[in-house]
Amino acid sequence: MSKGISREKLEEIKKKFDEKISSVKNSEDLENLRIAFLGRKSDFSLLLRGIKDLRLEQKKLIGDFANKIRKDIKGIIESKKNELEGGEVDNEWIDVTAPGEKQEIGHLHILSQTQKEIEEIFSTMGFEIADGPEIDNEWYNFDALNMPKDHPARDMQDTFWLKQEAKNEKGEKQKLVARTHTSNTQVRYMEKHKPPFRIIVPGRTFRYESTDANHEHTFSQFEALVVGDDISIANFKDIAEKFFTLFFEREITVRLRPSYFPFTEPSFEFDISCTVCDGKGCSSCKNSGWLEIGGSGMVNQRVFEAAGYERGKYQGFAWGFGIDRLAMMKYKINDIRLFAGGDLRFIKQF
Amino acid sequence: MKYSYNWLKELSKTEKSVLELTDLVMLKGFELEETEELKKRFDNFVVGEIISVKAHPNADKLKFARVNVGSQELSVVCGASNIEVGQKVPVALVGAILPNSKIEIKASEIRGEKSEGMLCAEDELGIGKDHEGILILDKKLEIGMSLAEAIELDDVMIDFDILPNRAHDCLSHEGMAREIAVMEGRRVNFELEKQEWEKTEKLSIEIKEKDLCQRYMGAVLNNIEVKESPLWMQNILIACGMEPINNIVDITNYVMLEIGNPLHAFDANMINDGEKIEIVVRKASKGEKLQLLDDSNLELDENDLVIANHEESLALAGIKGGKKSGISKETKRIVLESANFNSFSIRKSRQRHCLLTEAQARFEKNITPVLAERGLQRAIELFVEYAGAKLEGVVDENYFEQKQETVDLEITKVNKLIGKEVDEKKSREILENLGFEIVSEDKGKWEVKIPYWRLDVEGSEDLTEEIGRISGYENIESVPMKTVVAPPEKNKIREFEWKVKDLMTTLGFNEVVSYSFYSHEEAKLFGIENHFELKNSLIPQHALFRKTLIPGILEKVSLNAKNFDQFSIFEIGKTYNVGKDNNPEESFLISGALYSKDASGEDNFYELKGKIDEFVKKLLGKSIDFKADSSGRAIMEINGRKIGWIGKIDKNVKKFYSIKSDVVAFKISLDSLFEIYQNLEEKIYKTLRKYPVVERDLAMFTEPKVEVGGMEALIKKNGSKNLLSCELFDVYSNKETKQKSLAFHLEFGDDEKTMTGEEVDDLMENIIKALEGAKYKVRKQ
Repeated sequence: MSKGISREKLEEIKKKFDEKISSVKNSEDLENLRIAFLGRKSDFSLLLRGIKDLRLEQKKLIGDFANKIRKDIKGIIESKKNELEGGEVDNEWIDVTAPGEKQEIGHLHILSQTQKEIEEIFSTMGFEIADGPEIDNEWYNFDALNMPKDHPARDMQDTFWLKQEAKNEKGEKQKLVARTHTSNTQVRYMEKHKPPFRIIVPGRTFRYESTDANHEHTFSQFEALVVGDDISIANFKDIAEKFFTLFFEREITVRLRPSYFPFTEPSFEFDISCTVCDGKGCSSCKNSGWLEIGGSGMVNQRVFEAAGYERGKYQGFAWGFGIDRLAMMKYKINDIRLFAGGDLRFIKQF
Repeated sequence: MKYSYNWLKELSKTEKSVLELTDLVMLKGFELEETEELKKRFDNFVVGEIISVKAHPNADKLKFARVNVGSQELSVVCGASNIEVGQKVPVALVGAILPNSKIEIKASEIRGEKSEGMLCAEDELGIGKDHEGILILDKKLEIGMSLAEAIELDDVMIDFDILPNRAHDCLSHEGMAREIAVMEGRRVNFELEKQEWEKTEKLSIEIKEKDLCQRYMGAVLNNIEVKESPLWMQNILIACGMEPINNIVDITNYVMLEIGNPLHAFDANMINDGEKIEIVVRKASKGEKLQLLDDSNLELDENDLVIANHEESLALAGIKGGKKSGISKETKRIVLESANFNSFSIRKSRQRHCLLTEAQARFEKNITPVLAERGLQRAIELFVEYAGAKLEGVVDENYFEQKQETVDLEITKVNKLIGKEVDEKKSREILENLGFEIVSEDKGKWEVKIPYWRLDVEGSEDLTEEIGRISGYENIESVPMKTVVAPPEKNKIREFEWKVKDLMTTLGFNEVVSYSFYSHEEAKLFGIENHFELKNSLIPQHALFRKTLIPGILEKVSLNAKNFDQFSIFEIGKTYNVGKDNNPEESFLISGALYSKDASGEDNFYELKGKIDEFVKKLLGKSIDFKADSSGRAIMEINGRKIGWIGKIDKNVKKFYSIKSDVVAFKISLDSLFEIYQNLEEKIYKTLRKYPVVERDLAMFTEPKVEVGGMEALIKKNGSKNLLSCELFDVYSNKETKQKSLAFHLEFGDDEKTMTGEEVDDLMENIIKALEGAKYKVRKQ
């Protein structure tokens, strides 16, 4: 090394140090490195001796810079030392890339997860979660909902009928059905409760329908029923928008179109802004900007009467949506049969 | 219903395009099923002229024609006998798709002759029923012009879904046109001027079932010429999805599509010989036979309503006409029926005979008898104009009385239900455009008269719906609820269910979902009886409501064994028991299985048992007692209460589900667990033990089939309260001696003091004595 200290020479030393430190593997290497760079006979120490030959203003400048370099090198050696010797982990070699001991946590079915999510959202909005029977008599499934026998509206739902007929408390024979909707719980609940109330009824429902990618004879629905003195269409829209916004985790707007269900008046078909394109139009919504979700409406006064309420005293809304359908929309599942299929390659995805 | 766009446009006076119109109707009235531009059906169909016709050299019945289609000359093999040189005919070019059969026309060779297209008959084009020969077109048509243009088919079919509430009035073009006008803020009026017809003595009508037929109008028309109906009418029928037949049938269909009342034309001469015609509306007698227009034969019973003469039935009322009195080319005199039939009766007959017709669809949904008169009037006009008919007279047998129905409407209640102030003037306008009439009003309370065609309106909510939808649901803004409700009741069983599901997944189980049904075969396999059974099951595999979840579980095991060597699954679901008086009793179960391809059944059993044990311990803080039962299952009990079982699945059952390796499954009643859970004592903190624990091991050997449970019970019984735990930590089966050796780890302790070695020795001695007394061999140390 040529005599005479300069900023360039100091930088060169630091550069050399940086190169070497990265290849240090153990304490011994590190100690050698320390001696080589900071020892009394190191190039660095030799170079420092040249400071005394500098002019006064240079002395201060170079001196400070040299000190900084020394501090840096010291610091790096110190922390490398900690890394090699100290710390909470034993330094013994272990193949960290080898696989760990196998553990398994199971997967909740995606329908369960979806239902749970729905229940949680509604619970925060003050809804009670109610239940009803899956096999029911035709009174609760149809008649009480303004769908008397031989009414054309009964054809709107393809029904699984049971061979057996049951006798009610009065001894009257009643036909039994696999409930076609969770709405069978509406009158059952209202018989035991007085408004105001808000409930959802999640559960399994059945339709006499051959299965394909979009249709299942067994599926899950959740009913919402809100009744009070002044519950309006505007309230319904509000709850619906809040729910879907929380469920899809994006701003959702709701569109109501006229429809007909015997147990609501007025009745609506219910669309939400497309969850893929937010209403701009895409292939998922066939460029309409809207996705069809299900049916809803303001509870028909005849249903209130069937539950023993006075006609005209209350008003409220009801809806029924497919949990399967919501799960399919949210997770882009393209075949409804996967749900009951039970393939773990499907179940373990969620 | 399928509507003709052109016709709706004419009736409603709308200027909207198809897309604008369907968007409007969808938002304010009816769901759109589909639209179809009709001329697209005839892409690649053109008018061609026949240049030459030869017999096919290799087939007697075929002909070989050369056809000029403008751009080129084609060779076409044809089976029809009516083609001649110089005729203009419809030609399906290569690539054309026949509208009805959806068959694509391809260039081919028929018995050695090239064929580059097809000459079409009416039925092949879907524009008529005729298949007697190739459709011969007007000679004046230009060669090569598109067929759609040649037959003036330039309409769009619009299919709206009409739900039962509006089927009374909107299964007609007038009804739909009225709606469209209202949606555009206008009113159209379709009322015809009331006509006084001459009564005729030639026709007698007797209604025997006045409940089932409130009105029967018959018109006798003579001088009829049966021919093709005008092209515009045929095209309207095609647009509405019907096939033109002849002018008489077409007119009845046309009027039904226009006004909504189905009509039927009888050949008068086939009802009665001679001048005088007798019509009876009566119930059929049991076993009575009727051949319908489509040649099918019905066997009727007393629940069917028929139109008859004095001898036999002529038509199944409101559903379909009979063959004998149908219109033929020879028909000269007709009886035109315009009637009203009871919807329930029609529905029942339809269900019994599985007959779906346009007429039935309308009567079944209930229409007002007023329409019968309007339909008859319109049809007579058309018969005179397009069939050269002369009216002999009309008979109106009417038991229907139009009542003036009104509904009270409070405008504040409309606002309250909608949740928005709706302009009063606008509401009035909407109702009036729809045909409602406000007959009186008093401080926001209106008495509203319902138009005769609106059989769906019965209360103020119906009027609110009309105001709401026409003024636009999209204009209702969201408003948070004001009603305050008490905090909701907890659904405890649901919370419990989620807890169970979480624990099961933590233990490595994956959740599956199965159908609620299984087959008779499976019920037999599991020896279960007395199920709820579907009357109309879709497939035999889904015939019975399940009483166990195991079949579903095993199905899933079988499926997943193809992809996974080991897994555990569970399902929570309802099973359905037949209760008293056939009332359903649903119980809530959890079942599951553990599958491991290579492990022994015993290993699998203990693994599953360990998991279930841990599950219950965590859930309830209790341990399960396991007891073997005679079938090989381990019965699980908690405090003496049976909660379920666990066991290795039988090999015949495995065979049924095509499972090869061992499977261990379990079933637990969630209802029972929930009951125990609800009655659990509240948890109270126990002070931590201050004094040391003394540990001892105990080794024994026994015959191989001796249960560990018995030893454990004895140890615990004799260990006093100082025995804190007893755990089996080693089991070894000696292959030579066939003996099993077992080692237990015992812990002793006392809450008050440190136990001395002597005290523990005494307890150990008691335990060993008891074990030996029970003939267990204890290994002395």
